[in-house]
Amino acid sequence: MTARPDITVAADSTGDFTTIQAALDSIPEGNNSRKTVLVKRGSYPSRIKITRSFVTLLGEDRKDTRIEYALRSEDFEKSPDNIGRAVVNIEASDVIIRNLTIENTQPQTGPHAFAIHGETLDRLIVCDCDLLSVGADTFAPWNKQGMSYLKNCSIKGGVDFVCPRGWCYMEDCSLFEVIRHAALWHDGSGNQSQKFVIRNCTFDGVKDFFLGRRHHDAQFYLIDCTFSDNMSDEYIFRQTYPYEPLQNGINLWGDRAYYFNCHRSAGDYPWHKNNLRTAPGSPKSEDVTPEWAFNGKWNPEL
Amino acid sequence: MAASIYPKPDLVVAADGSGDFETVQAAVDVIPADNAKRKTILIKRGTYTGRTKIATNNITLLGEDRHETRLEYPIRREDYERNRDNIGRAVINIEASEITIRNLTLENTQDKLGSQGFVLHGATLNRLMVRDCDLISIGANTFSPQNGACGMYYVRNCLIKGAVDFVRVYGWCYIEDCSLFQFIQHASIWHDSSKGPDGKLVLRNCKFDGVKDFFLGRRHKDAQFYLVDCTFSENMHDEYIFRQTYPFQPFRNGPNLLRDRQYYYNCHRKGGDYHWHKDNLASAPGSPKPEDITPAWTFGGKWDPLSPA
Repeated sequence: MTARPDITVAADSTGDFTTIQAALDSIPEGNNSRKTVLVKRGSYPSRIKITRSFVTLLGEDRKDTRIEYALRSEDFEKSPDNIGRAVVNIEASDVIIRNLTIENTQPQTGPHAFAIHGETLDRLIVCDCDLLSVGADTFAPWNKQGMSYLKNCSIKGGVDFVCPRGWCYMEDCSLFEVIRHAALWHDGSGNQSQKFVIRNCTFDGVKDFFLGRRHHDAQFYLIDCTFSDNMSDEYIFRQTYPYEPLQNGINLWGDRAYYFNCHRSAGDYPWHKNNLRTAPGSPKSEDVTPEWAFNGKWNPEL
Repeated sequence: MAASIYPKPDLVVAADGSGDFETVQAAVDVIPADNAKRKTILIKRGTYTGRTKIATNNITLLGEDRHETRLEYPIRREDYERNRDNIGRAVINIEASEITIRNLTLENTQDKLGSQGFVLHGATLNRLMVRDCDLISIGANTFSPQNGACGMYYVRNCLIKGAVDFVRVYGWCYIEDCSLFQFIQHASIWHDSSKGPDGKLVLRNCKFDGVKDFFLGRRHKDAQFYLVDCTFSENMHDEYIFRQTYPFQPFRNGPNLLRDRQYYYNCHRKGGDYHWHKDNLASAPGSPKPEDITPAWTFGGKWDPLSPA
């Protein structure tokens, strides 16, 4: 937070640029040192694409710095462009998004409406942010071999609204599910060690929302999480297809969901009792750190 | 003919008028409702077009010839639901105990691939035995005994064909020496033990075949499968007996308190085994050995369909 900004964006023209995209585009290709883009209070109604590595987007105010845009994925598919399907599209490494709000403002509950998406991003950090959508796939870091880290965020969405592929660690976040569907989703089919760790997060949503699901092989670790009464009694389920079972995803490693000290306010369900010691390597709760989750390849907590 | 191995019939049905009755239903209907002693109805060669309902206990339907004694009828579930009656949705509808069906062909001749087309159904049937029969449908739910609370069924030396969940069993069932054929890329066997957690579907020495990428099975609710000495054709897809969930309405997902319970012993696929059907019978409750997996074990000692009594 204390880093001096390299570039300032202000909607009211008091900065170097009036749009975030213009600021990003001023950073040279091949950039390899941290560049901090300070985004002043204001609403920035647009999609952006980050293609430079080592960029930090830092909001002046978490609530009052807003990047927002209304886009359903299905509409994007009808006329795709090279910006992307999300409000913030990231195809770069070592990007940090901090202290701002990103909202996909399309109003319909349920359909795919990404806030953050990228297929080649890696070592992404998002902290102190609100990531909002009432559609599906709000936070979608989709590099099948990528790593992402979330801290102290508030995330809202319809279906699978925190849906990383590869390795992901999320802590101190609050999640809200706006329909009766799955909140979490993971694709860990790229490597048996891929995992999605969720620590000290709170889950809430409409009555009978679901904790999570998977289509492919996945691996979930939930530590010190709390669930509201509204969560339904269904473990993180594998999605299969009633009419076309050939669409069922790959399932080589079976159900892998590990829990420690996770509780539901009105009473626990049997499927989230402590079973962390049955995970590979029988880790203790305190072993489940970001560095451990990322196999020692990255420690985002610097 | 081999009639000598079968009991002497009490009633004879012949489509050509040479027996006591011309329809199976007429013969069934003369047996008193409180019948306590086995009555054998011999059904002569011929095609019997109609649905039959058996609501009287201790009846054997015995065909004169497995392939030439044919009970057939075209009926789709969807059409039946629009116009329900007290016969039922299947070619043969059983609401009785101690029924034996032997040495004949039952076919639901409705022609829509994959549509629900029951051959045998009953919601209250118990201690059902089906032997030496062909049960044929190109729809779903061919063999559908549905007494989930306490139903016990024994099937031997049958050919069973269908589209989706065509061996669809609630409760307790032992199937041996049978051939199964799946017409579409969907699940063959299905089980539900949600009304009695000890319920199980056992298949021993059965052969599974079907169109390319047919599936072994699925479940919607809690279930328990035992497959011993079974063989799978090369066409079987690489997918274990999966739990069906709903992409758009997960609140429809069925109860899953006991998770996956599927146990295999000596099951092999032509062209190479898949990892999920390797031997794991020892991990089943009570660690049974393959020779322990008998009908009497399946039925918890409550029924032994193979005992001479």
